[in-house]
Amino acid sequence: MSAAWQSVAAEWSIRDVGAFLLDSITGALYQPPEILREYCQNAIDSYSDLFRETHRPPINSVQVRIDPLNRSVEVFDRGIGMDLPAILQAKSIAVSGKLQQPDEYIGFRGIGIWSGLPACEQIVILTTKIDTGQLYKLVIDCADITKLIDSGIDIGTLMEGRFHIYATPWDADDHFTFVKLSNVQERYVDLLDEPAMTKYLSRTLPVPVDPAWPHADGLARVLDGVPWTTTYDVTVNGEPVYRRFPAKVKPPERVPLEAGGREVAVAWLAESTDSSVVRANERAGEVNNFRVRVKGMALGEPALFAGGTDPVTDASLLRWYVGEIIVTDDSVKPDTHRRGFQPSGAAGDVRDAIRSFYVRTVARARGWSVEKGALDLASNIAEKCDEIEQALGGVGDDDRTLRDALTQLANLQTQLANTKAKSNRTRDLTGASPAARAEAAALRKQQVKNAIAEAERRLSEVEAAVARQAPASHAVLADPPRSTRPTTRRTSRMGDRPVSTAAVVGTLHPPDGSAYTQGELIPRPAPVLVDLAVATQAFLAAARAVLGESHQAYQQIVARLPEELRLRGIAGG
Amino acid sequence: MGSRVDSSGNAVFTADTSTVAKDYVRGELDRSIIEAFRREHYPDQPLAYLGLPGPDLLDVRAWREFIGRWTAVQSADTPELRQSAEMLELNALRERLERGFHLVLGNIDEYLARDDLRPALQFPYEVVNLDYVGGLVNARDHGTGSLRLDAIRALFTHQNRHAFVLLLTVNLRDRDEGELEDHAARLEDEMRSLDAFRNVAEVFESHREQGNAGLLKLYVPCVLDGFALATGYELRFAPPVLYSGSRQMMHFVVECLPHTEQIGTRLPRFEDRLAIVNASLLIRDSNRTSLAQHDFGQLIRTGAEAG
Repeated sequence: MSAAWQSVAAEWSIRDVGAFLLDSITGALYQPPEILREYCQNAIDSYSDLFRETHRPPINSVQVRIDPLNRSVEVFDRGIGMDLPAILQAKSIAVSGKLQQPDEYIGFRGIGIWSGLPACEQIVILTTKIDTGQLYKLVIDCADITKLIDSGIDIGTLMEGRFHIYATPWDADDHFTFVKLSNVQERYVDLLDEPAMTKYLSRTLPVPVDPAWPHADGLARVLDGVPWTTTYDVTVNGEPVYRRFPAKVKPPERVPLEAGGREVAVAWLAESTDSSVVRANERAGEVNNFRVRVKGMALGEPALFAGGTDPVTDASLLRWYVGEIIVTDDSVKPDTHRRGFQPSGAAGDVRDAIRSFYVRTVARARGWSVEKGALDLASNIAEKCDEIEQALGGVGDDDRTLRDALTQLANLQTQLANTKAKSNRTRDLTGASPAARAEAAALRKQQVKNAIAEAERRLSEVEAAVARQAPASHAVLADPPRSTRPTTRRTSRMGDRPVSTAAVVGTLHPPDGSAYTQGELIPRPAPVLVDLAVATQAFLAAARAVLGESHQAYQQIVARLPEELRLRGIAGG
Repeated sequence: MGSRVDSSGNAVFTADTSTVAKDYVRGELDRSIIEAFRREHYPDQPLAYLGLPGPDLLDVRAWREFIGRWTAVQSADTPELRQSAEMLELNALRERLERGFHLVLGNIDEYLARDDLRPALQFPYEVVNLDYVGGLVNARDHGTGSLRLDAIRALFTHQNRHAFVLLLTVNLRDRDEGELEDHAARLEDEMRSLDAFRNVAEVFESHREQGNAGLLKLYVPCVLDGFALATGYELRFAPPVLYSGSRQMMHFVVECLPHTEQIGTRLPRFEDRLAIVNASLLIRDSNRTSLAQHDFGQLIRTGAEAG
């Protein structure tokens, strides 16, 4: 017997959706600052709509008011505003016009007004759309809703009587949206922390660069024509919110990022003025390092994508810069929490382009560090030579000051010899890392070569003068110490602490007063020479003791050590 | 300028609409006083405001260039008042006045008078605008006195000899229990007892003929002077203004300046009382371009020629 199937009418409605799903969508989604960001983002998007629908120049301002006394947070914009259809759509969850045009909006998931649901007792929205002549008021009784969300009822029943819309006549020329979160819940009290919220917004929203930053105008020129660089005048309690960067950096540069031969992002960077970490005044909201921005909004943490299972080597050197990476590929979307990209092929390409940019930038920092080290060394030698020449004029051969100065010069002489040797060794860079190549390039710069040559010339002059005028002291220069290698400058990070390879090897020294402080070896007058194999084993043992054998960083040290030694000419290739 | 006394004993003047009259008082008279006060006492700083601006923030908007931080007190006992509070917050943002804005929901008199509520206010202020809808004396239900007067007394105390401008607007109608009449009678007796004036009765009768306008003109400065005396202030009054809004309102502006000598050493001065009695009342005229001056007559010293 064959079955004759007949269709049975069955409607699908909101009554079929359990209320607890609402909590899944909104409740656990956002941290306090992210809730504020969502409302600011809606405000920003409303200016796109205003321009699209009216071609009026948008004011592009978003005003936030945080009122700890009354436990309320307000966000006000003069964007397009909402008419009744828009209000009715706004109350929907994950149903948004933005979903049809995701490339044109910053927000696109339609969570919109609901993001504050778990955070407060009531959400009130006052809004009027241009030419409607009506002011609408939308009230959501969040406290009641959240109380019943786990009670097993459906969403339709949950919302009944807890969601209200009112209307009143209003000036037809007016247009704005005002959102108020009333009686913020204790769990979300961070929303009421004005300084913290201001700092978060300054780092996240597309706000202007602090006009007092010395490079503000320069950056504007660098970013001229780059998409998604429109900024919005955001204020918190009337005070403007700016992107803030430390002043002690060089002028910004523009760096295009490509994937598959097409530009997918534009980075700008401003390098530290003194070849070290750019010191950011945290309290003033300043930042160093790089932020990735998609459609103007910053994602995740600084140096996004530099970590993970395959971290960018020496990513800490990115803190020698301030800058941003502006994703220009519109198909790349942030994930729900805006802590990374929503996975896609394009997103992977952009991610790789960003990582490649990081690697190049780190290498640049390494190279610059080496270059600066060489130039500083040459400068120090010149100074010491001047000092010795002056001393030779009026002292005896056994003068203690002269001998000390000669000892110091001998150390510098050794460092110069090492630097020069390194410069000569790095001609064959086949298979070398970008950082090693950058170091080699730095040492081959004409300016560096000239400085080294000038230092050698001065050394010869002084050595000859010493031989003539203080022959007893000449031996100090003739037999310089050999163990104070410049590797003291080569630092790395273990955990959060800078660790110098020389410092670790330095633990081999007998306890004769040698010490190292903050990762830098304090040179001893009589260094102990040890066999390289012993030193290597000791170094690895120390690293293992600090990190543990299974630590990823330790594994990397083990893997990279032979190559690093080879590149430095310490061990044969 | 015509006036009459209505069946309640209050003077009624032909006046213009509430908005125009009030705007004039706020935007012209008060504004010029606040501007001069700031120039004299706080030339290098914005002023802190405490008041009842209502949802439209008309006074704060009119004086915004002088004001830094500001505390708005708004009742929220009923749904209508809560909506007013909501609109007040909205308009603070619409008018870009949110910098230094501090909203206190409740009755300003309670906040001023009650120790447990007062921390919500951020003393001291330089401009205090008590723009009441009702009267000043309004006896408490249980007849223990006026909460409003207690509040103003407390205001002087908590300002702690910090110079400020007090703007006080009260309804001409007042549910007082004869305090205004009693006060006028006492003041009249005081003046008569000095045996220095020959027309005391005529001048006080002239005040009574204007109903509560005349009585308040005598009462408010004397009461404020009493508070000032106890808290180390000297007062500098501008002429009071009677204007017609939705109701007949009396508007007082007084600069409250710290007494230069030690607190408690100031004594009530005969000249102050004389000045209060002899002061004119300004009336906002319906022609909307000027103020009319209403004189109640001047006390004439015994032996002096009648003017």
